[in-house]
Amino acid sequence: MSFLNNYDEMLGFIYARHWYGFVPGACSTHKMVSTDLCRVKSIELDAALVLVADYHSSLLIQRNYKPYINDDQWLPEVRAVLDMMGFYELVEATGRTMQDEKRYSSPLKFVPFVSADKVLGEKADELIESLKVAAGRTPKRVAIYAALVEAIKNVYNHAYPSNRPTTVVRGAPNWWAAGAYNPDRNELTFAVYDQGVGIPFTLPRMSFFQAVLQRCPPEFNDADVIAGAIDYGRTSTDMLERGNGLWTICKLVEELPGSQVRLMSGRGQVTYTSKGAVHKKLQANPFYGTLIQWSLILPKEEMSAGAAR
Amino acid sequence: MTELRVATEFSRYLGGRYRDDGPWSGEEFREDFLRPRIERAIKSHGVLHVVFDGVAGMPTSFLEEAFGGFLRTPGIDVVAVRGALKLDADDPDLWPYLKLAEKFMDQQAKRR
Repeated sequence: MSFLNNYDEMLGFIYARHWYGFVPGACSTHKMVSTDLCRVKSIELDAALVLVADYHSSLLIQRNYKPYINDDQWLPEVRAVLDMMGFYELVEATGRTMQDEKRYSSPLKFVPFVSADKVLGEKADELIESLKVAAGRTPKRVAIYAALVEAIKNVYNHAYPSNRPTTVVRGAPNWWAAGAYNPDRNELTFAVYDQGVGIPFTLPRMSFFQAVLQRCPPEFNDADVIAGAIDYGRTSTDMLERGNGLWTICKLVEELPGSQVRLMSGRGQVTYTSKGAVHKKLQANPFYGTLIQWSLILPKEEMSAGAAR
Repeated sequence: MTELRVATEFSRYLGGRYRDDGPWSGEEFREDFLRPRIERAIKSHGVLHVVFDGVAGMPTSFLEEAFGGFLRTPGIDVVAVRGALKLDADDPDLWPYLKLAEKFMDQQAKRR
């Protein structure tokens, strides 16, 4: 499961979950809805975060309800990833066993998700601390904090406007973040996700949108708009005004060669690399909310002995 | 010279721009900590050293609202404030953000 490799399938799965989980009458009883991951061979951070956020959002609006899942037949690696992320705190599982850890040791070190409905620096720092434990250290820690808080602030300020379209499921107006460390690639990955209206919905309401449009082709799409907003922040000399948020989020990767950040929102997917390259992709179906995922390649000389093993 | 140690007197976890964003915002820092301390420094012809060592990070929006926002205050004596305010940190990871805060103040001063 991955939005990078199986975008449409993953999106279809999430929309089906919403249909049965939130739409009255879609299922005779909510307790009969159960997520089936039996055929899932692996699960990436983006997909795991969206799934965990979806369950957490359900719990926030339906207090004391722990969804039932039948995970007897799930692969141990899938269970391990979700366990590390804190998924099992949100559900009533049938098949999770304490033996999993002994039977399967994940090469990827996922860290527990954090979430809030405000801009809470403590939560961003909690995630960075968890990543530090997983990776041995976190270079550019101050810059990571700044990028995370900027992403979280964008969620709080823009993702859940009171006039959001009725097509958007009314879940909890939260943000969610999680991360993972891949020792083989020496890669630190972390992401912030929200279930809001998305960047392409928000940007046209901004005072600087005309300047963004000047950076887009005449027939622009969601990916063009996101890339235009990044470029506007990068080239804008007037730092006092708004519009630098996406650039603040992206410029972190320039400090670590080989790193990149991927933004998914609306139908747009934009990847910004450490070399300053922008890759745009237009999806057939709109993403549910916004997901920003950083993949940082840690410099070898900064690896700790523990992380290098 | 007086010191304002942000991490211990305010918070390690600097937040967003406005109070409404959540705790430890740039607006909260400016109004509740920075403004009274700078006013005292100016009155006593002293310098306020704002020391950032120990903070988890320095979000851009926080810095703009705290420092750029301070110079947007109507009727403020920009020259007196710039003379009475010094931003400081021993941690080199924080230096780019100190420069950014200075830049926010410079740009705001030019606008007046």
